[in-house]
Amino acid sequence: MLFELELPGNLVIWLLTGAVWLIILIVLIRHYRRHESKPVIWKALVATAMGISAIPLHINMFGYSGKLAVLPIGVALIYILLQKDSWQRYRVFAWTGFWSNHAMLIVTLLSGMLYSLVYPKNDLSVYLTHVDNARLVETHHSAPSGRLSIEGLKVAIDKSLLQDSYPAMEWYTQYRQEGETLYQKEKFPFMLSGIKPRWGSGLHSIVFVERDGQGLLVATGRDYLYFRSGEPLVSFGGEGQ
Amino acid sequence: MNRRKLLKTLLVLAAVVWLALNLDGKPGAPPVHGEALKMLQAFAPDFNIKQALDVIPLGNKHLFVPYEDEDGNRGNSFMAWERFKWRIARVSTDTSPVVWHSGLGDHAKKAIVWNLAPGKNITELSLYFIVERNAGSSGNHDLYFPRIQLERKISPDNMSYGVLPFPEEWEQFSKLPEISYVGWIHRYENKAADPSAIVNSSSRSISNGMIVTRNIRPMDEAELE
Repeated sequence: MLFELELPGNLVIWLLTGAVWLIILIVLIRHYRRHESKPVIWKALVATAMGISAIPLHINMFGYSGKLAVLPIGVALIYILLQKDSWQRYRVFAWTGFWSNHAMLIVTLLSGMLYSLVYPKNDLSVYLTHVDNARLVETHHSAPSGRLSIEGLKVAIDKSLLQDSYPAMEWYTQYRQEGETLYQKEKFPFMLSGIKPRWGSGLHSIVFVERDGQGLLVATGRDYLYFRSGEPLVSFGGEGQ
Repeated sequence: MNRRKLLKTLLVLAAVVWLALNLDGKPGAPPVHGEALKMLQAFAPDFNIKQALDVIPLGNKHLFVPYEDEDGNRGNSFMAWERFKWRIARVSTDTSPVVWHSGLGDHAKKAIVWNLAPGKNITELSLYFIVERNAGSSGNHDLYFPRIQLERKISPDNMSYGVLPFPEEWEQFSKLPEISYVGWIHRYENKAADPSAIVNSSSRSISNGMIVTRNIRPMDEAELE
């Protein structure tokens, strides 16, 4: 499809796309009713579908990439294939198909903005629902043995702050150098299991827990967000780290 | 014959051809060891196969048949249910563990299979799931992804040959763009063994494309953290 966007399917985009299709349908019905010589319905629909195909131009807007339909190839094809009087009858449907590309593009760009209102990036509760079933899972054997506190996690979701920047390269190099605190260790050796991202968000995020039990790293594939809470959400069995 | 009739006939014909090419029927009972052995010997006569060690179902339509040849060497073979019959899909003298896929798509079922030669004092087989540590920044966004190192030790009873359904907790990382791989190490007396000690370096195989497997990486102790 022409109007794809590099964002996974989510509730916002599904609803908006549905609304656009509804509007296109209404426009088509109005065209049909206004026509004096009644076109054949299935032919009108085929003309619309063919009208959608066009040569796209890739564009980037608001951090999202989309495709702008430029050359109406489908419409041109219909013009070539149909005889003059049929063309007069069906061209309005073909053009509706072509313009629907632009309606979809506007919707996809709009959905990006709307999405960040419904699923704000800096809100941990977007990535953490079903918290009562949360479990701590070791993803690296250097993990200190600790127990997750569900209450602590709930507090962390409310109080944690998204860090605007973090020293990623430093963390990366620390594991390599002997003598460094993280030598052969992982800064985020746990992940949370049993939790789910908010319904309709379309996210496949993974939430890692820092080895001091006070930080969360959320990886969505698109963003790598570091949250820090003042309170520990993991209690370590006496021996600390 | 008028045009409408001709069109209908063509459609029915196309449907019949499509069905004939794609219908496999419901998988029947897997062959028992003796039958499996005969099928293997007929399929690959010059492999000198002496014994089918087991017939292990993988998903609904595939079987893993580890075998042993007359010299005591091990090998892997797979069968697939196609066109109303169990058929041999691949016979290979390469015994490295591989990941079997039920199909090509992302939603394919997966399992790890192995068949290691006995008598080499191997005391431990470990399978690893690794995601590389990653760090960087683009624009004003920082990026850090921790290293994932998950281990599955295969119990000594199952070390000779076996099947491990692909662990669910390994699977969930595949939705992210991070680089991941499956690896294996076998050890004896707590030391990593040289993979060439049990893996046939000059391997031969016959395949007819009915099975999808992916190789997994023989790892070095130094690659672990």
